[in-house]
Amino acid sequence: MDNILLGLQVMTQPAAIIAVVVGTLIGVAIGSLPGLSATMAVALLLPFTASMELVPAIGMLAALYCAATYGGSITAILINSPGTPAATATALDGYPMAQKGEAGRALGIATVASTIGGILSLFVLLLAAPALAELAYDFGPPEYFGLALFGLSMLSAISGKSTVKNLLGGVLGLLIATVGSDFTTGVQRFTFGSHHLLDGIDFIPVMIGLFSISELLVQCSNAFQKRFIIASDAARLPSRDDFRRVWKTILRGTGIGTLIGVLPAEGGTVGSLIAYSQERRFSKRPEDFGTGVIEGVAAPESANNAATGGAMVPTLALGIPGSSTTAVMIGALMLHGLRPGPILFIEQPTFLYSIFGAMLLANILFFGIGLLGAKVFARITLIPVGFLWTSVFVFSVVGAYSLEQGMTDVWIMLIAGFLGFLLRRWGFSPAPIIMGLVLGEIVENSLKQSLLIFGGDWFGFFGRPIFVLFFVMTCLGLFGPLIGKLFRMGRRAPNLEAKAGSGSGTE
Amino acid sequence: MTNEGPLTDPSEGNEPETPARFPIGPDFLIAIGVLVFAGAVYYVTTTFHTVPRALVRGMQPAVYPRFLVGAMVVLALILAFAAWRRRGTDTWQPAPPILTLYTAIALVATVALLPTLGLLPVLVLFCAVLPVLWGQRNPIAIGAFAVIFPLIVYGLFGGLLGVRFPAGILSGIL
Repeated sequence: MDNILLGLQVMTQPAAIIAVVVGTLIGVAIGSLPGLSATMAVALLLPFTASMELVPAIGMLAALYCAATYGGSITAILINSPGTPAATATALDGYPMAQKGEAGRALGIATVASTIGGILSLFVLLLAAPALAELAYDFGPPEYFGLALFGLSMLSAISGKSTVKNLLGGVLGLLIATVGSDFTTGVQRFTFGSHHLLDGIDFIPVMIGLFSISELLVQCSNAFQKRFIIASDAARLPSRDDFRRVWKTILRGTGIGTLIGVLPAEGGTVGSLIAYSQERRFSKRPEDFGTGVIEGVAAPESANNAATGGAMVPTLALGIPGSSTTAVMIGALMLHGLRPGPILFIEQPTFLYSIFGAMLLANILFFGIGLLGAKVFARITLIPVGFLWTSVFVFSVVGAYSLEQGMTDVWIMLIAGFLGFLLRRWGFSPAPIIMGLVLGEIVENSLKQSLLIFGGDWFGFFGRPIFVLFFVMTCLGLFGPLIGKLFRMGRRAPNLEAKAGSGSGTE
Repeated sequence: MTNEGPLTDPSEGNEPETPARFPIGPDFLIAIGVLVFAGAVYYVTTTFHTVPRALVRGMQPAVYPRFLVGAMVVLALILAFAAWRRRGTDTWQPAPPILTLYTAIALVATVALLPTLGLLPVLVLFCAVLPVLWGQRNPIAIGAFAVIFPLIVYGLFGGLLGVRFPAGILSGIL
């Protein structure tokens, strides 16, 4: 309890409050801009926070994460162009509502659902993260290796694209993480004689390149596109009737979003789509979905914001990112000399509660911003794309340069950007590469340490029950869909035989 | 009354032109690319130094990257197999617009010129060129953006955060 009060007290310092306010404003603005994602925004802001104190820096990024997830709904509703992928499902009913002249009502529902979802999931973070960290405190290298394997297996679900390509991206990230001197033997790997690569490839410029530069090149296809906003009345609080209609939807969406957010995958996007489809499935009038019903806005919005709190649970407690944005957040923590995981809770007990306070404040702030300023933020989308993406490149260059004050990181960022562009054209998602890059060190270190413990015996892993549990979960994560398919085929076959049998009988 | 006659395709003899069936789809080529890349990576791992057995901590430096190469090969084969099974149905993405190439050249030129010209002149140049490439035609807006925005960024990072950027041709002034 003392730690909670201390953590929240830290968040009452003016520097921390200003950082959260700035993070929230930037987050809503960036979230409302189609193409600019929360992950990209956090990656771009990361170098800027390097010189800040720990709590304001991470508080700013956490606030940006929450606010950008909400901000995506503004343009999803007003211009049918989701600002973030997590707001894709919101557009399905939000935009039809706006077309019917109910934009203010839709924005109000989205704001309330996002706030409730975000705040409730934070309480899950508050309760689950320390408990999970306490459980993980007894983890040794084999258990960490199992956990990292499980995290990697979840890469298959990190984006809606090909499972195999997601896994290939993850392996590529792991491979990039091996560049530099081997930490146990000092042998140089993949350095090609360059002293710039001796310390390995810093993942922050890679992140900036993969998320910002590749997106800039992708956006060349939309350079001459003009956007139009539907005229909107001011966002307004839901009426009592509306609230009575959606409160259960919001709670269900929050539950789904939090649960999916906790799993190491792309929580917000998947969570909001599942929440939307579940709401539609259990609705008494599923045919109305897609025509502009408030449940169709409340479900995805509560789920995607609930996923932010959920995604922070494995990120802080285990050091395994719960989403691509939290993978970048791990980078931010490492930039400030922290290693997320159980030890963090012992060394920095108040830190978690500061993050909780920052995210809570961000949720309250975007509630006000959403109701008062949604119309203003929607106008941000009218900024000509030529100026917008020029600014993104300028921030990318300056951010990458600021890390080590040298050109190597700038070139790495640029190469990562071009590589990311090509990979995206070939159907790869940048998020698994970043996840692989972030988890690379844990995977290799824990594997080597485990083999040291077992005296080089690989079967030693199977004497550790927690590793076995993670290994089984990894196998289920990877082969579950295939097993399910075979099982369904197996069940269909007897049915077909029975049908064939009965058919032949009647002939 | 039902038609009891043999089922025939009404369009038979007058078949619409089917889209060209590619024997291999893009994923098949990607898989081959991954296999070639994995082969190259494996070759590089053969150039790593080995350490005496007594100094090995867990495994030799080349072993872990080779595991990753193995995983890549397995995944690439799965990708190739899946692509082969659905051959003829895969579609090829249209080529990116020429603007992508111009933008890429502008990005590389900006980064290449940065150490020589210095950050501020390079950013001013870039902020004037890219919006024009992307269709902006208002000279006042472009001019104001090209001057004010780099100055704000330079002031923010250089002045407030103390980042020392290459001054380049303005080294006597800045």
